[in-house]
Amino acid sequence: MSDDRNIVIHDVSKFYGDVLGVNRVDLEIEPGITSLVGPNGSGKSTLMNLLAGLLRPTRGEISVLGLPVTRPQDLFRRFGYCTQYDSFPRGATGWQFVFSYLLLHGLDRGEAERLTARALERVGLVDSAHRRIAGYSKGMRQRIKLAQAIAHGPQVMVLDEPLNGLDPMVRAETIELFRQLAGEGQHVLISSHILHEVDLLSDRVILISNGYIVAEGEVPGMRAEVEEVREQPLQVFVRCDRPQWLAGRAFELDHVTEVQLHDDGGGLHLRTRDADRFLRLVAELVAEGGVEVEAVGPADSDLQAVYRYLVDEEEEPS
Amino acid sequence: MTVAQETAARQRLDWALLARQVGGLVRLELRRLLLTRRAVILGLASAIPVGIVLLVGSIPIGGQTVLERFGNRIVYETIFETVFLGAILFFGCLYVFFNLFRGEILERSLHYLLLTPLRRELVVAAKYAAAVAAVAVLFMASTVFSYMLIYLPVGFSGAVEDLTAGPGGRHLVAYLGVTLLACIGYGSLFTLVGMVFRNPIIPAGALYVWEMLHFLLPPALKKLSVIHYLKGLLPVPLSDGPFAVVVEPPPAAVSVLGLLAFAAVVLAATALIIRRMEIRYTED
Repeated sequence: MSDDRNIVIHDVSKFYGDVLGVNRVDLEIEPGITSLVGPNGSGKSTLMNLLAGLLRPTRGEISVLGLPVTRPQDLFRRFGYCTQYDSFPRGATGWQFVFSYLLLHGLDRGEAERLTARALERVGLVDSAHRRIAGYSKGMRQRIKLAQAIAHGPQVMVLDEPLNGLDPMVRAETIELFRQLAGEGQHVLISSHILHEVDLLSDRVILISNGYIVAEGEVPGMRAEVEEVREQPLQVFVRCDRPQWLAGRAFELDHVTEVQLHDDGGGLHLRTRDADRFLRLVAELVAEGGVEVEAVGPADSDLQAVYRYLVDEEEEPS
Repeated sequence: MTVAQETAARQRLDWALLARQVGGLVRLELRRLLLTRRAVILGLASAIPVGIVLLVGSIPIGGQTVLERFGNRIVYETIFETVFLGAILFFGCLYVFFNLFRGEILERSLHYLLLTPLRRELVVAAKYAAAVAAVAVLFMASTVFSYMLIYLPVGFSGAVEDLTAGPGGRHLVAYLGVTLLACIGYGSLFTLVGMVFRNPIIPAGALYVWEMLHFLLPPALKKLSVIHYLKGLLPVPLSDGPFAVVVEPPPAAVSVLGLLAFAAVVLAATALIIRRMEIRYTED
């Protein structure tokens, strides 16, 4: 619990009465973009609320940059949290919302105004800053929450579903903002159930399901780290001139479990427990002149595949 | 220097920083209380005593106004005790202080405050101080305006003479003091009630009955009511009727210090609850 650079969650459980929130979570999160992925109700928000001290763990300890989460006077100088709650102080404009909470950091008005302007600019809300939040669109409300969370320049940003409701353009800009923040050496912890986004922007991913951490690691290496996944058949695609013939050859192999021809007749997908042996076979067939291959590769080595293996059996993400 | 070391260094309290933080929260809360619909409702409530005194001081019944017939001090004391202290201050404080935290829980905006670098105890203290300031300004203004209207029968010069040379000035200060102490006492109580109860009707109803029937309570139980101490500070003693259990009012110092101590203890209990509080709006 002594690492001053990381977020450390040690043997943390949270129960709501008899209902499990999260159980026996052990994590050490380094700076960079970390995504917390899981279906609705899997425990993502519970874990984030525990990190922010809005919930108290039933068991275990949490520290952020070496600080206990029970001391808001220390924690929130370095910690920004964009919650999932789509609610705001009544009657506030975007500017007032960001500015007034900055004053609670003890900043003088000039500095608070400067930081408010910068935060609003970073999330692209300068033009709407003096409109009431009640009149904002869903995407604008998301962005004003984000501005409020990052305005004081925290080293740790915890963002609960921050991309929800954003249109594609703003989504791309927001992802770029996350990359900038992470590039400055900050922690950006994001929860999401939109796997494609997570896959693209994360340095590492934590998969959570039913309150348990089921996998964690860097995206490219995730598959190798998960024993359960390693035993699953890998899906491979081949684009070639003789897919039916190749399908027949593939079925002769005992490690190939499924073959599916592409609708356009120009390739196939197959599942194999030994992708290396299959790829060697393809190479031999090409060398023999039996087939001309346009492209070949794993069809599911991205995070979505891992997620599907680990989580989808229990619940389909929304 | 590591984050923890830097934090430890800062923990040697920076009072100026703390003052700016608390000041920021007080201003935020004052704006919330005084620049919203809530202030309009409170303003209308605080205008009621002014209206009543205006009526009894300007409309003659049988050739005399009520103020002239019964004496302006007695009439004002009666209005202050029954209408202002007995209803408007009680329910005005209930309206503001019950919603001090409960309102933000229902709006689902309390977490924004709890995510700032302020100890939760200070959040309680600052919000409470702002609310006391807001209601006290409104209700003390009401006290001053309504009190000035008792001089309608004697005119401006009579008013100046009574306020400067007579007992009028001392009485006004007493009424203002009682108004302020009522805001402090009831305010702390309803802040706690708002943290414990989701719906104010039953606890507020029970407290109201307790406070209004305090004159029937035995001496030991009278000491457990806020109004017992407040009435002891009022300048014109009125009878509580034939069924009242009469006791000597507590000394003024005991009343003042007792109410302040009561408010401090109740606020400490509220702070303890907030300190342990979890944000789970779905349960609220």
